[in-house]
Amino acid sequence: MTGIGTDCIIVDGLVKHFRIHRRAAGLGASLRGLVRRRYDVVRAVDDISFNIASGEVVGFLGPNGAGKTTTLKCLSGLLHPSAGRVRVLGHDPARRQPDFLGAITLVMGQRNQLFWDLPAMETFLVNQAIYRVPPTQFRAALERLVVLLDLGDLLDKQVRQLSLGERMRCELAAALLHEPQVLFLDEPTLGLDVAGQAAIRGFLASYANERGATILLTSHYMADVTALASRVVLIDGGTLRYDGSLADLVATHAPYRLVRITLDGKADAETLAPYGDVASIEGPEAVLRVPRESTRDVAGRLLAELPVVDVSIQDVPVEDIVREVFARD
Amino acid sequence: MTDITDSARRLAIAYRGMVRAALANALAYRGRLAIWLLTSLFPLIMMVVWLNVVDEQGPAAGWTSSDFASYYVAAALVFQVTQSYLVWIWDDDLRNGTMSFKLLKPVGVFHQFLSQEIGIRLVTLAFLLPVVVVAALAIGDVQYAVGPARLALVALAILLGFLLSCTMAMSFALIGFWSTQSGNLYSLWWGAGAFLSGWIAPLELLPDALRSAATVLPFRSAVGFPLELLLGRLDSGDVAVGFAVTVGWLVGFAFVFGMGWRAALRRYQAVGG
Repeated sequence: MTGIGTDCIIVDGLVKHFRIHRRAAGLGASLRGLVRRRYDVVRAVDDISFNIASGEVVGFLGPNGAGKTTTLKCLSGLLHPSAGRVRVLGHDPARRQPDFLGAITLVMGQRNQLFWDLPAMETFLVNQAIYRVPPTQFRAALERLVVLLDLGDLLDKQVRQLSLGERMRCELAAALLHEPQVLFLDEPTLGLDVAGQAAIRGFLASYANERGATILLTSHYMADVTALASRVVLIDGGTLRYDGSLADLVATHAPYRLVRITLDGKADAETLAPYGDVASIEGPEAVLRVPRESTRDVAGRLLAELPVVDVSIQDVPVEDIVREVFARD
Repeated sequence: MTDITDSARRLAIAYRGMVRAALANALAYRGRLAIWLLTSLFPLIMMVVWLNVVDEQGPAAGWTSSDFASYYVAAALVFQVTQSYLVWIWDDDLRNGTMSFKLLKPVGVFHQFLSQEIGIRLVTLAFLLPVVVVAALAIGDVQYAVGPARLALVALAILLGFLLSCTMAMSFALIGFWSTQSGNLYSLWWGAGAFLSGWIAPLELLPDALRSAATVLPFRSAVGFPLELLLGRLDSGDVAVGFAVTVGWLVGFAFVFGMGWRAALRRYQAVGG
C-alpha cells in the first residue's frame, strides 16, 4: 500500500476533461455536422483532492453533473484521468490489474451487470469463476447475502421478471460475492421505495461493519448518507466544496435549530420576532430559527409567554444544509 | 513458469464459468436461435442452385453434383462454427453501458467476448448438426474420403479460422470506441469477404486473379481453406500456404487488437452509466 498511513484511496489533483460533440437541432445542423464538427471541452472533474482511510464510509454528494460519477469511474479504473494522481489499495486504477479489480466493486444504481434473460444465480456463478471464489467461500458468502438481502425466492427467477427493488438486491449480491475491500456505490437506492431503500441501507451498514470495507457512496437520498457515513465530501462543478464530518457540516452551516410551535389562535410575525428568526407562518403554526445554544430558553419563554398548544425542536434537515452549501457559491 | 501455469489455470476456470453462462444465455430465446439456424442454412440454398446448374449443364469447372453437395453440406457446419457476431454484441455493450461491467472484471474483455461467442457457436452447432445430417442423407451424394491425419488438420484449420474470425471482428469492434459505425464497417468488410471466403461459391470456380487474391486474404481461412482440405483438393504445398496465411493474419489482427485496445481504453468515456 502506498500513501500516508492507512489511506486506502488517494485522490491528488484529479482532473477529467471530456471532448463533447456539440450540435444544434435540425436537419441543417445535422448536414453541417457531417462536414465540420464542433467540439466543446467539459471539465467534469477539475482538480479535486481527498484521501479515504481503510474502513471509512464516506458520502459523496453533489448536484447532477457535479462530477461524482466521473470521479467514481476514475477510481474504479474505467476512466483514465486527464491529470492528477489516483491510488486505490496502492494500485493505479487505470492499469486495471487483476489484483486491483478483484478487490473492488462498482455498483451503479441505474445499470445492471446481471444477465437479463437468465436467473440471477447464473451471474453469481460466472462471478464465482471470474473472481476465483473457492466453492466453500462462495457458498458461505451466498448464504449470508441471501439472508441479509432477503433473496430466497429470487435466485431462480429470470432477472427481467424481477421488480426494481428485487433486481437491485440481486445486483448488490452479484457485486459483493467476491467480498471486495473497496466499494464504490453510485446511487445504489435510486428509484427504490422507502422500504427498499431501508433494506439496502441496513445491508450496507452491516457489510461495512462486518468486513471493515471502505465505501465511497453517492446518493440523492440524504437518509442513505446520514445512516451510513460519518464523513461527507461535497463537490459541485467538478470542484471540492466541503470535506469533513457530517457533524461539523451541520454545526458550521446550520448553527441554529428549528422550533416549531402551534398557537391557540393565529400566529403573527411581529409577536414572534423577539424569539427568533421567523422561517414560516401558516395559520396558528409557525417555525422559528433559533441559535443552538438558546433553543431550550426560547422554547421555555414561548411556553410561558404565549398561548402555545404544541412545541417541538428539530435539527435542520441535512438536505437543506447541503442545498445551502451549493447555493452559497 | 509457475506463474504462466497459474494464469492459464485461472483463465481455464474463468472460461468454464463464462462459457457455461454463454450457453445458458444462447438458449434463452427460441426465436433468436431459430434465426441463427436459418442464417446457417444459407449454404444449403446455394447447394440447391448449383445442383440444378450441374443437372442442366453438366459439371461446372470439373465440379460434379457430389462435389457440390459435399462442399455445401460441410460449408453449413464450418461457416456456422467460424463466423462471428462479436462486432454487434460489442457495439451493443458500448452503447448500453455493459462494457463498463466487463471492464471491471479481473478477466480480459477479449476473453469475456470470446467465451460468449463460443457459447453461441456450441448451441447453434448442437441444433444445426442434426438438420445438416438429415439434409445430407436426403441428398444422398455426400462423401468425404478423409483419414484421421487429414481430419485432424481440418479440425485445426477450423479452430484457427474461428480464432481469426473473432480476432478480426474484435479488431473492427474497437472502432466503436471512436465511431458509432463499427458494425456497418464490418458488414462492408465482411460482405466483400463473403465472395472471397468460399461461402457463396467454391473458390476454384472464381477467375484466377480473384482466386489468387483470396489465397492471401484472411477470409478464406474461415470457410474455403478447411473445406478444400476436407475435400482433398489441396496438395501439401497448398496446405502449408493455407496454414501460413491463417496464422499470419491471426498474429496480425492480434497485434492490431492489442495496440488498438490500449488506445481504446484511454479513449473510453464509459457512456450510458
